[in-house]
Amino acid sequence: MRKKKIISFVILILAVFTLGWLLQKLLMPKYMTKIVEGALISEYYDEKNKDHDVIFIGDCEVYENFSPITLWEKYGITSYIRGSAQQLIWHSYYILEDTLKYEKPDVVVFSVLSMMYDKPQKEAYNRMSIDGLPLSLTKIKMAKASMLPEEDLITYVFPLLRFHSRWNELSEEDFKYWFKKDKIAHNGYLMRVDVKPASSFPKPRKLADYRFGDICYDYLDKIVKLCKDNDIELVLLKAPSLYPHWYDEWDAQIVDYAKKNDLLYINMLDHLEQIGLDFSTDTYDAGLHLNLSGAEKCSVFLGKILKEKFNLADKRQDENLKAIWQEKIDAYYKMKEEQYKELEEYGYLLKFNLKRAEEDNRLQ
Amino acid sequence: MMKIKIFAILISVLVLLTGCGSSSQNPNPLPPSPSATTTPGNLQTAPGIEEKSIYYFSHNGIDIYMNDVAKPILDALGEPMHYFESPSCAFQGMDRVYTYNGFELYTYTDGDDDTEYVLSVVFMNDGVETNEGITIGSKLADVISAYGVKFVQDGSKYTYTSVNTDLSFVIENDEVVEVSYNLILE
Repeated sequence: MRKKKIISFVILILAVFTLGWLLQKLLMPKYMTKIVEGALISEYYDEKNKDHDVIFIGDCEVYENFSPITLWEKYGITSYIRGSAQQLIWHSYYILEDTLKYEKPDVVVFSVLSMMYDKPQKEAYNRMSIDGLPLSLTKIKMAKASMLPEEDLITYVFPLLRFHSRWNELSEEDFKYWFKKDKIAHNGYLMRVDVKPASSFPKPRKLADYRFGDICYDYLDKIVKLCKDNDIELVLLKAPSLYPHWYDEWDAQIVDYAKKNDLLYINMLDHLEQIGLDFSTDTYDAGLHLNLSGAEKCSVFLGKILKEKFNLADKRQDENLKAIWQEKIDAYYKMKEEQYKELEEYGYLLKFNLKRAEEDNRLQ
Repeated sequence: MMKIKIFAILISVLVLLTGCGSSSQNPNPLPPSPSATTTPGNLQTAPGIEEKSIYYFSHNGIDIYMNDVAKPILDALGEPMHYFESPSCAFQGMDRVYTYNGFELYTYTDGDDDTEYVLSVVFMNDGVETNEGITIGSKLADVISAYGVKFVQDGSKYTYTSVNTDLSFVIENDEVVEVSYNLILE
C-alpha cells in the first residue's frame, strides 16, 4: 500500500512537471515573426558544431553588421554572433561565460556601444537576452544583474510564471512553433537585404558627463579577465553605424582602456572609405544598421584584420567543416534570394513589416 | 479515489499557473501591449489627466508639454525642415525627431501603439528661448536669476524639475550651450 502511494506521488509530480513544461513551451513568445531578434540567443544551443574561431558578443551592432558566412567564404574563419537586441554589457559578460562552457574560441569581439548604458533599459530586452539561455547558475546571475526593480528572479527560472497570462493572446504562431522553431539567423547574423539610404541625423545631444558608468567598466574588466583566464584574444569593436552618435569622448576612453589592457580596438567609423561602405545603398534603416551588402563589406574588412593579427588558420579545406558550412551557405543564399523576391513583389520584407503587410491585406 | 485526487491536484495546478493573471495585470512584454502595466520605459501617459508641469516650451503660440500627444502639436507647427526616425531594436517603439527653425522636437511611440507622444524639445540655436527668456548663449547667472537655486547639478548640466518634466541647461565656460525639455522616464 505504501509502495503504491509513493509510485502515485512520483507519477503526480512527473505529470505536473510535464504539464508545466508543455504549458511553458506553449506560452512563451516564439519570436518567429516580427520580433525575430528574440530567437537569436537560443539558436546557438541548437548548433551541432560549437567550435568557432571567433565569437562576437553585443547588440544589434554585431548581429546586423557582420556575416559569419562571408568570414568563412573569404577567409575560412569559423564564427558565431552571440548578439541580442540591446544586449547590455552585463548580458554580454554572462553570455560569454555561458558560451565558454561549450567552446573556447581564439578571439572574442565585443561591441563597445553598450558601454553607453549603465542601467537596465526594458524588461523586453532582458527577456530577449536571458530567456534563451538554458537554466544554469550563469543564467541566474545574469538575470540578477539585469533585472528592473519590478521584475522577479523566479520568472527567469520558471518563465511560465511570467508568461502564464498570455493564454488569451495565443496565436497561430504559438501553436505552429510550440515544439520546433525555424532558424532565423545565419550563425547569429540577422539578414536584411532592403535599402533605406541615410540622410542627415539629429544634432548630437550634449551630455552632462561623458565618462562611461563604473558598472560598465567593472563588467568590461570582467570580460577582459574571462578572456585572459581562457587564453582568448579580446577585440573591442565599434561598428560603423552612424546613429546613435559615437562621441569622441567615448572613443577616447575606449582607446585609453584598450591601450592600458593591451587590447586591439577597432573603430570602424574611422575606416568607412577603406571598408567601401556607401550609406545610400548599404543600410536598411538610414544608417542605424547595415543591410546584407554593408554587413558583407564589414566582414571582409574585419576578417582581414582578425586573420592577420591573430594568425587564424584558413579552414576551408577541412572536409568536415566544409560540409557543415556548405549547408549554412546554401541556407544563406536561399534566404537572400527569397528576400529579394519579396522586395520585388511587395516592396518591403514581410517578416520585418508585418503591420504594413496586414494593412495592405486589408486594403486588397 | 486516488485517481480523482490526482486529477483534482493537476487541475488545481494548471488553473493556478494559467489563470492567476487577470487581464488588468497583463505583464506580457512581448509583443508589448498598449494596456500592459509594464509599459516599456514605464512612461507615464494620459497627459490630459495629469497635473501640468510649469516647464513647457512655447513656439508661435503653441504650448508644448512633455508627454502630450504629438499629432496636434505637429499639425500646428507645420512641415518640419527635417525629419528623422529611429526604430528601437526589435520593434520596441519608434523615436522620431522633427527639426524646426531653432529647435528639435523628439517624440516616442510605445510598442505596437502608433500614437506619438512628446519626449523632448532641444534648442539648436539662440533663435528660440524658454518662457523665462533663457536661450543658447545666456549666462549661468541668467539661468539662476530666472529659475532660482533649486536645481540639481550633474557635471555641467543644471536641471530644474516640475511634475513630469526636466528643464536642463548645459553650461560650458559660464554660458548655456544646450537647453532641453525632457520627459522624466521613471
